[in-house]
Amino acid sequence: MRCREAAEQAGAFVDAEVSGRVRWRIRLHLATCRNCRRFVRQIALTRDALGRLPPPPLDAAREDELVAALREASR
Amino acid sequence: MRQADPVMTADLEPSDDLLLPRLRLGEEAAFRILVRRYHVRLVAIARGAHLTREAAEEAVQEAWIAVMRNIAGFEARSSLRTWLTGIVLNIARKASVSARRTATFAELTPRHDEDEGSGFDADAFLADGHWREAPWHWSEIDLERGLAGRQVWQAVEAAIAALPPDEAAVIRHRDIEGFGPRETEELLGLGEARQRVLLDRARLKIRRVFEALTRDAARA
Repeated sequence: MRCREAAEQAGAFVDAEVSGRVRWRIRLHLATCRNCRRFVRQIALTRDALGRLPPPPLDAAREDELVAALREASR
Repeated sequence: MRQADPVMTADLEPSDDLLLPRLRLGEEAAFRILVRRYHVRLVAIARGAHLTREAAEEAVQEAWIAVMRNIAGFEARSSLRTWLTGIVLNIARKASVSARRTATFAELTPRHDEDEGSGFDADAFLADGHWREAPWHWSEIDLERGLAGRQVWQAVEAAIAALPPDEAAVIRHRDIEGFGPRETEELLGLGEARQRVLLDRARLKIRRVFEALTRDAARA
């Protein structure tokens, strides 16, 4: 396996969406290729960082508005 | 007075499953917890259906009312979060269609995906399949430093807004919201193979944004 192929499969690899055979071939390539190890790791870090982003807090006035709208609607 | 640690309070707050019976009883405190937990994220999801910020706020408000009206009949076959997201998307899509009826031609012209390939630069690899240039080294610690003390959510939102709409929707559902391929297919109507292509392209672009952040942090 070449770097191009490993890099193109990186996303499926970190999401565990590749077949056992492809997984094994990528592992083999990563064992000998520092560039691809770096790249695959960064794709995983990117995914994980996105999953941990704390959204900004909801504005308190907007929260009250939503509660008021709900009350209004359920009358 | 010291503000409560957001991580701590998040841990101490009841899970969606625990909130469900309280929501069914119409308890306002439970509703407030849910709204604080999801409103901002849902507005971002609604904006993905081509709505302005204002229209997205309206759509999610409508969704909250629909959710509370129907919560007695919610059978928890999917998670509360998936159900909620589905309702938001439905309302947002309808709002988007009616907004289009009055839109000008220029507003209607879709932003098309200009690159249909894997998302790598054409010259990222040499003819023999090796990297032309080694990926710049940055690690988890660099990234944490790069993300610290910034308006990270806003920065990432801006980066996602710049993606083609399908890529933006897929990375939002899969990576930000953490929905699996099947839930994402259910919500967006995109098959797993298509999700893969879009997700890979989107991650490449967001990786570049993170790389730039770590570079800035390294310089500072």
